[in-house]
Amino acid sequence: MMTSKERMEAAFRCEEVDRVPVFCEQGGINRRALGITYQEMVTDGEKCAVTDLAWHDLIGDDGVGVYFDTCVLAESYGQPLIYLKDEPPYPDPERYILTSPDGYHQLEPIDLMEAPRFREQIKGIEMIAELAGDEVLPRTLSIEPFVTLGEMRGMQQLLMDCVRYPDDVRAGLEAVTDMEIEFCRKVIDAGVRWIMLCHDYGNSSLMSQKMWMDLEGDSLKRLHRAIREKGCYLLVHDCDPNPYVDAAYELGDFDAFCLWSLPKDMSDWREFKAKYGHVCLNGVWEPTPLGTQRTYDQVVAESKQMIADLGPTGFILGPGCEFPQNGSILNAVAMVDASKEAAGMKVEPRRLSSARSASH
Amino acid sequence: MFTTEFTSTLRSTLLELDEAGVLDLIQKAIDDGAAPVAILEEGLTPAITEVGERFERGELFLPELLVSADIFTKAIDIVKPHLKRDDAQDKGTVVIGTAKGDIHEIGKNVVKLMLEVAGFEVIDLGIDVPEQAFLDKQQETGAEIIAASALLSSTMPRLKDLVEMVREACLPAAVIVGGAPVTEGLAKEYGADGYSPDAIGAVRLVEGLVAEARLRALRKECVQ
Repeated sequence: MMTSKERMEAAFRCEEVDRVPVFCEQGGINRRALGITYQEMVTDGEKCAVTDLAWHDLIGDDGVGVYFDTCVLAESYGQPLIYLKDEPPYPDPERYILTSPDGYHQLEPIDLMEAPRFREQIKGIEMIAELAGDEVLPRTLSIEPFVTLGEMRGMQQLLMDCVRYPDDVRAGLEAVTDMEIEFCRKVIDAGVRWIMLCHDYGNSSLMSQKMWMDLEGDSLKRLHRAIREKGCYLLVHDCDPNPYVDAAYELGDFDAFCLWSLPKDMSDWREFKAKYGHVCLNGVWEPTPLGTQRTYDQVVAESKQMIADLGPTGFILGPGCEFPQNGSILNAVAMVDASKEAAGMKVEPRRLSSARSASH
Repeated sequence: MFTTEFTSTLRSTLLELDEAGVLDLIQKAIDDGAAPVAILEEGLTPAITEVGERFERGELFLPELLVSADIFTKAIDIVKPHLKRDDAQDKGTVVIGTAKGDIHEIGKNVVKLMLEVAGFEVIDLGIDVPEQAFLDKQQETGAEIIAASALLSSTMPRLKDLVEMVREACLPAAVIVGGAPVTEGLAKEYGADGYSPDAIGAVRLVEGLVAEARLRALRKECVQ
């Protein structure tokens, strides 16, 4: 039997696997494994690492790592955040640090190791690499420069600036990209072996494909290349409807897509697989139904169908965005069970599953 | 005074996102003595409605919509002081906000804009709104609609709490819900009176619900 590490590496390379790997994209639900608050998890690298290892032991999935939230870099620039007990921190909307388009030109390089939460993230990654580096492929999350810029300027204002002050926005993106590259190099040095990079602005919910590529295309190419040059796998993620997959593909230098929504011009995932079958695909569960609306049995059945349609090679089963933190943990288990069943492996009987199914 | 050519120029100027051009046209129309209501109904409203329709068809995107809305709001500010009290239409009132714990407001802002363009009075409670605040504002204003959104799966259940509280208080208002993780099925499960996946759909939904409520009230009056 393969280790999680071998399984994930084989999936990224579109090679044979003993069973389809499962990545739950746990970014909040995993804290329930240890019963800690969100704030504890995202400010203490060791707690975050132990939480995800505990989740891995409990669920048996294959995506282990340290992921705080999307605001680590913005906070490193000095953006004040609001911390909550049960939700990820977010930028204080009353205190954005980029108060005018001129601010985009004033973003100076920063020393990430001076930023307390980045140091914690590094500590957590090193812990996972040391404790489980032989069995798992440590992961983390990075974000496209647009996201960080939006966290410092306000997303609505940034979107309007894209129309009114595109050159200023481009300058800001360039500056942030340099720091994103630094961020990725440092986490890779600490032991990360695959990075999920969020392309949150690359879909029709936020902007046209032309605007996305005109403003951020070159920055993303640089970022992709920098990650791959360090020997790290790169999974590009878009969590909104109608992702610009063709444009993302053209950026090059990546190993996998993570999606739950098809591009506008495609009618089903088999069509997607036929076109991009040479690239690993992670997903394609829609998170809300997966976490909160399906029973264990339904998740097993639908997951097995996904594996039949999209696997077994070049496929990582999971939600195409974060597993709802208030979702059913049993439904995360169900994906792992489905993967094992599809591969003819033994699955422990789940007495609780019948009870839950009956309750629906 | 108010010509088709003016309407057409205003429309194209707004579609080009030419803020100075739009504001100059509106100021000129006011200076030339055009009726403020006509500027709104025959000039600005059709222009911003077309922006909304293009957005719905995927020909325009959120950045352009937001800039159009910003220009539209500034144009309205020029016209407003010239409107008489009886110029205002009573199309209905909507209390809007994001669910408790949710700070994602762009979708809510777009719905608010589209409702205002359609002539509704919109009372915006902002973000992270406690359920009781929706109820209090409805009682204070007599709003026909309470509209709430959630972008997080963890804040989504607060929409259900809101619906239940409105029902328990027997408020004469329909509750509509939306937001990225919300589905039509979930809205039904929560007992909401309506759901829309987008802003234009929300306007149609509100128009329908307000018309229904008013018809019901009229019938009740007739019976009495």
